[in-house]
Amino acid sequence: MYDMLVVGGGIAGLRAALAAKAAGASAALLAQSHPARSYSVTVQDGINAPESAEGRRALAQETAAKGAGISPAAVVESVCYDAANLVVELDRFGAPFNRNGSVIARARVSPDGAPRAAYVNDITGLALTQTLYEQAVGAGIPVYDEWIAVSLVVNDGQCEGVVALQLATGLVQAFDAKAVVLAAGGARRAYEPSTASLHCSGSGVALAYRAGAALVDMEFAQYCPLTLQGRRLALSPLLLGAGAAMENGSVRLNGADKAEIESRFPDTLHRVKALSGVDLLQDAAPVQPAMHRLLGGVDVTAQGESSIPGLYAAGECAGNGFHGAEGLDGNFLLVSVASGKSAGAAAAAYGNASGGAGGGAQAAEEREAVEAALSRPGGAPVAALREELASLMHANAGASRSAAGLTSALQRISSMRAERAQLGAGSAAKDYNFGLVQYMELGWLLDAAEAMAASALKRKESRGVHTRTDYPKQDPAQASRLRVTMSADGPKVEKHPAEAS
Amino acid sequence: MTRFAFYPGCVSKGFCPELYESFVRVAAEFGMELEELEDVGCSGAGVLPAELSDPINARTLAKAEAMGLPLLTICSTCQGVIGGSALRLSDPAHRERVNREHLAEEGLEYAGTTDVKHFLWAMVEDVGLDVVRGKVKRPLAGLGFSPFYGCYLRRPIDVIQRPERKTYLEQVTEALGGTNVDIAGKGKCCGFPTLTINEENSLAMTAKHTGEAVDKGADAMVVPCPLCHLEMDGEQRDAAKAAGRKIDLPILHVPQVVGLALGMDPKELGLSRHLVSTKKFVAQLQPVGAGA
Amino acid sequence: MQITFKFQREGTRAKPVYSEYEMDVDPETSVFDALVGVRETQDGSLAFRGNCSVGFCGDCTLSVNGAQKATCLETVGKTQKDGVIAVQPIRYAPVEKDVMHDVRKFLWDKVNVFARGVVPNGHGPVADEELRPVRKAMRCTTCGLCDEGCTVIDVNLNFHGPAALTKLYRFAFDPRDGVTAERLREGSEVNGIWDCVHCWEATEHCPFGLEPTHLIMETRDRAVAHGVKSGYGNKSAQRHYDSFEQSVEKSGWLDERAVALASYGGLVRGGIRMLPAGLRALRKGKASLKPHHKRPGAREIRKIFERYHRSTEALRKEKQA
Repeated sequence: MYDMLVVGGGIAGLRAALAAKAAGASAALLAQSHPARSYSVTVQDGINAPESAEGRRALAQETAAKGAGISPAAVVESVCYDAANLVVELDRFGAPFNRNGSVIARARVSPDGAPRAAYVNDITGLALTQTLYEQAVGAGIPVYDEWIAVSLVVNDGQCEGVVALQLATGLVQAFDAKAVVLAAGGARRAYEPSTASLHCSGSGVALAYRAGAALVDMEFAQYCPLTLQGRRLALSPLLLGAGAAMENGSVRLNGADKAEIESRFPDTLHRVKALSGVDLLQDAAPVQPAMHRLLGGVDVTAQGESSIPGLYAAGECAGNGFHGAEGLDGNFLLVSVASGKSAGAAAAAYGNASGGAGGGAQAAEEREAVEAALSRPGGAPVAALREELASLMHANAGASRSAAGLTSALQRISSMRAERAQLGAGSAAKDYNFGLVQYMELGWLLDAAEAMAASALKRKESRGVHTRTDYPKQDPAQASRLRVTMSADGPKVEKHPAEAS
Repeated sequence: MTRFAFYPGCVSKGFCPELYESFVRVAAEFGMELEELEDVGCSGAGVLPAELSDPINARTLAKAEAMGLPLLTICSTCQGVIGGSALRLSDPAHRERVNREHLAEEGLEYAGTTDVKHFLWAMVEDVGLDVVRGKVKRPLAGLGFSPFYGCYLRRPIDVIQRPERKTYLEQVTEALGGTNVDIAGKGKCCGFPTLTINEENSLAMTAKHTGEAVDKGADAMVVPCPLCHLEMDGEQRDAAKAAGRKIDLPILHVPQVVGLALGMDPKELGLSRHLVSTKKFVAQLQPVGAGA
Repeated sequence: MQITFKFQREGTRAKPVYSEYEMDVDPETSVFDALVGVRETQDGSLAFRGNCSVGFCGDCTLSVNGAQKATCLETVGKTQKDGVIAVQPIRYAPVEKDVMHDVRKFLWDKVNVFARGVVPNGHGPVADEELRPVRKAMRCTTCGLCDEGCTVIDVNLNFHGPAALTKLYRFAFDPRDGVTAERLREGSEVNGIWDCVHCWEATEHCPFGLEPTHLIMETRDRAVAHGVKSGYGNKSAQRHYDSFEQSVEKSGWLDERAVALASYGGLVRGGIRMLPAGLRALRKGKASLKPHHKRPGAREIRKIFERYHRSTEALRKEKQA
């Protein structure tokens, strides 16, 4: 029994575990990949953190404006106003932020923006993940890596832990906890092309959705225009800030100072060369838009509390509304760190004050479900459904949407779910059964995709990254947020006020 | 003909006198003129920190530079360590600091121009394998040689400079008429640097390399480094014992193998001084002049 | 192009027994994506790791057609030989299942020894250049290719290895850390920095040019500068390094006998250890009884040492202050 358990080992999850530990709670972390292997390590963005109070106010205003009027003011302000502190804290943890002299440096994430993003060369994600992992090791936080959460334990309306499967053995067991923080990342594999890591499968939103929690803002999912052609590498907007430009589907350095690019972007240059064969110092690298960030997620407050007591969410799977209808470059790492810290602290406070009954019975049920899946056929038909889903979502729920496309997507998702129910792992192996993983991941992706398409259908206007061909204009009357919950009749989407300033 | 500032290193003057002596004979045969450096120090052998070995080696490099000659080594470790210093000293700021803090007092200055070469490289690049081939009086036909480079003639690449240098041992063996017996660990550590620190690791390395060479039919192993020789010749008996097997593989210095092919007497080349008996190997040599 | 993917599922590395899978794949596809494709469509029980697919997470290290690679950074077209891609576990790690190595034993258990986060030392503002070594070390993805090439791990899996020692370097060079000397003492114990044989394999194997062998050598110098004796907790290393240094300092070059004797722990223990081989060497004329003598230049070399001692002493005092 832990006071709090984090599901997900990226930046948000690690930050949450540390915050809980600092608050005196016993915290543990459970993750499908080892924390140092999480998607967070690939993020090359900077982290917006203006030095001056004036700069932070400007950031809050820009964030709200980019979010197109539906970001809760309280969330935007608390995150932006705390940004510089969050960065100093990370630096104190050991993150080696670049400096001007001895002051943490700020760079531009767009050609004309203010220099306000702190960064560690082009490895901010890798450096922050390592730093937070190091602190977690130092704090003695137990890490259950290569454990996959398969369901949330909710008894009498309270979240009391998770049931998880150990990849190495197939063991299914309950992890009792007084509070759970979901920090399991986005759902990018529901789209193709995307910047998804292999296991970016929407488990965080799906687990909450299935447990009865509300999701929010699921119609907003943002493409990254700077994705390397045919690869899943999202190039950093810091490159644009350093003078690179995007022209005719390619990124080229143009007037950028090549010596500066070489010293600040060594890993970008290396990856682009390895993945595309292009020497970015000499030639243009072809790029394409690819699905990148889920802007919505589990409906949570500024403190990360979901609609289920004891259940919290942070990072990309959390829908605290910070990004609103469109995210601002440099804000993604910021909100991961901020939401992780606040959710961890809130979960610790909750966990300290409550008790849990345990998930033993539910673990037995899940064990049976896994056993059954192990005996059903799988493999190629599961992969085919995943691929079909990814192209369907890109075509019908991608950069432009329409009622007809979304309706047919929802119908197909529903029938895919029925088809999936007949499938399973494809082999009975208990140890490292990736067929089983693939089968479970498809389930989460279908749930996430359903919530996304249903929300997109409900929003009959264009706002932020949500573009409806049949409703091309923004409608001031729809400046509200959409909550979606799972019901027997399918997804139930309801409006609620945005609380934007 | 080719002239060199010759840096013999410590070990060829200590526990491997047969290396020094065989090298001097072979070099003379190739018409290499050697100006032996006396007033120089140990390279540091990768044991001394760079803060010490860089000034010591800058001193050596400056002396060769003053003579207008490339520096010739007969030890991979000397080669790699002095080569590493030379690479760092190619940075003008570092060189200037070393000159100022350490060399100026004796009136020396290193300008960064000295080329550092192992004998193996000089033989291929300056003497030329055609010349070597032309001097063979006793082809090593029918004998299997396991080339063992060790570390410093393979890595780091910026110190060895030319990737083809990683194939010279094989090229030389072929030029001498011998057969190469390739082993997986030919570019790995012999175990010497950790002999007195972690003997178990050290002996395991030696047993692994020499054992594999024997299993693949090698009659001898060829080493360009006297430290590899000390380890794999001197410690082979203990290594075999630790590994619970029989090995008995003669370990030959490069100039010894070349000298044999050039028709020199095995005893003059110091083969009888090795701790692993070379008798059986010597018995397999053809008489001088056979097949040449 | 049609590729035969072969996975070692039984047998040994030397005598593998492969399971074969055929798949039509674009030659530009990364090897990792292709392997995932095989697993997703043909056999979900195939075990290997990997996640990000863009060279950052370090999880997809495998041996492909005999070469050890971060497989997401290699293409099928360039990797295949005669239409075959044969996958094996990397060489020096214990195998968990199929081609999957035991990454806990091979990496995490060792990295974690040195991973304890920065303990702030109250240091004031830090200049950018002081953090460059930390940033360099943090480019490490813990892909394990350095350990995979390591000469010492090849014979002793307990050696911490260059990946874990890169983590030590990261802290050894962080001016904000308050427990650096303690870390360096931990790292100087048996199986730490002094057991490295500086063969430069790690440097050659690192796909990102981090030069882990250099990092270990720099960490050693750092340890000495922090007043941690060479080979702290590892007496034989300490004896070896100290006697080597003393020999060169004294005479300008290496007195092999003295260093060997001292390294083995003095005249008595060293004498016993070296006696059998020493006698054989004497008998065969390999070793001689001539005394070690100074070379010309010994005086100048001693001065280099004196200046070095002065500067390390100053640095040590500064670190302690």
